[in-house]
Amino acid sequence: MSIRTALLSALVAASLAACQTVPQGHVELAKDKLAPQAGRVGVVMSEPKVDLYLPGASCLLCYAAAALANTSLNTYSHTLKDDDLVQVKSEIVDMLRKKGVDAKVVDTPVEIRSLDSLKLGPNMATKDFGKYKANFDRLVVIDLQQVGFVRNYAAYFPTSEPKATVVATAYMVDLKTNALDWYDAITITKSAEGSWDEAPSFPGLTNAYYQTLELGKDALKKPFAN
Amino acid sequence: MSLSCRTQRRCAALLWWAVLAGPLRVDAQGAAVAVVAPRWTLAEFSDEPVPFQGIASMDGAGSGPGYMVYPVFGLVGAIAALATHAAIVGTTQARQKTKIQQDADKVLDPYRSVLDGFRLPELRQRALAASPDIAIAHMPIAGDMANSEVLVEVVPVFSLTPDAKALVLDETIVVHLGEAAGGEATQTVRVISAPRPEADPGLAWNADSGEALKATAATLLAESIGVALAQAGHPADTKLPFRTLRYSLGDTERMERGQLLEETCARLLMRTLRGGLMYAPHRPGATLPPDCAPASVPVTPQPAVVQALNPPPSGSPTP
Repeated sequence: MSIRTALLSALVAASLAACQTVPQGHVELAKDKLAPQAGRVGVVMSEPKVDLYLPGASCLLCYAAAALANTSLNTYSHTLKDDDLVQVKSEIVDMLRKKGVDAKVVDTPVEIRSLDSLKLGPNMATKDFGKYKANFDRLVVIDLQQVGFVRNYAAYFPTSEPKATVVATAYMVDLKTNALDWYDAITITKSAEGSWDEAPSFPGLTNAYYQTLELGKDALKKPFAN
Repeated sequence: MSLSCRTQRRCAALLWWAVLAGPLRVDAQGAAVAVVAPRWTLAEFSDEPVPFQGIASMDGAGSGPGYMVYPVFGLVGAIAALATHAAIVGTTQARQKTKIQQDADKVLDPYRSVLDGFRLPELRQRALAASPDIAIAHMPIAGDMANSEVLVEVVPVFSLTPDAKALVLDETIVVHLGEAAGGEATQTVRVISAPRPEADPGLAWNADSGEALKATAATLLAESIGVALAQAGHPADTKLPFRTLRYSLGDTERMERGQLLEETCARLLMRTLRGGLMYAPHRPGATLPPDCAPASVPVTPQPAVVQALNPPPSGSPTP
């Protein structure tokens, strides 16, 4: 191996290693976090607008073509409400209170991306929730990343029909230590039954959308039911 | 009496109501006017096997986001590359959907011998026997239909749930009016049977030459017509709120966005976002109307809505 090849290999390996991030794995919610000794628990949620996502339409022209092809669905998605899903934070608070936990809803949606980043290692929060310390000992964070519809693309062409989707991460942060007491990633997609292309009201996709909201709610509430 | 119907949807609702409720018809100007109640007839079925299929979930259909680098050899080359990519993507998706449906249909394999011998005329006879008298009258062929009569055509498709616990009927009901009234109206209805309680539903469905399978299919068909009749006098109410309603599909819990029209101890009747009717069993643990047994107890399909049309003689107990 020439010195030039070795240097090139080292450079490639170093750049790939720099890109590598270990995804946060599932952290089971321990029983003692569902008891009065958990302290004051706040439940906060990010609330993105309902939207259409077009992953894979990555070049500028591809995205323009994909957006144009899905204009009516995109416009329609913005008319949908996600109140059914947003109310999950109140339902989680109710479930915690039934277990004797001093729990409260944080009404103001949290902008997760606007918070300072932390690099504390695995099973630790990656965002600084310090501003909630004054009122709570622990924070249940429901970070909704996608709510609406998703249609996968490969450049200019769709590789799937549009589907309803809810993508979220949910976790409980110990605000004293920044440790994650619970972590779960949720991805739900539902296709329309039968035809999806029923503009302007897209009943099949709308039905799938409300199904994903319910399934998302069920998944988010499940750890607190134990 | 005259009602105007300015939109196609409203006209269809009025027509459907007129047909099923009897006292109205829609004239050429789109106005609903009073007529004599028509006589009901059910169209003959062709001598074909009753259509059955598996329930395919397309949630996993398609593929994830991908990348494509097009080889560009001039404008013609670029267009050819795009066309080839489009063709490959389209064909792949179509094949995948076919494969998913074929895999879902495998749930029917244990019942093939029964289903091959179960033909539409037998289904019709069984459904007629299970139907209330007011709904069904025999009709030989459409050409013989008198002007005042109404011909009801039903196009049933049955599905078996993936766990083989329940049967689902998806039906399109087309009502053809006689020449005097003119026009036709269409209503889709889905009726889902209660899940079978047996651990091995295959044995239960197949027993006695598939008697349970045939009887359940006929009951669902009779119920579907009964449901459509019962709702005929109630055109879609836009003020009724839409909710996400939960029900049982076999042993799994499903959801549907719709308007709750009626609730019995056994079933929910809803109008879906597409305007169809769905008559589905409660999910286990559902909050039932007062005086009902718990929903966790498997419930045999009861044509509750049909019964509502035929009140028992005075003095007999209410079911």
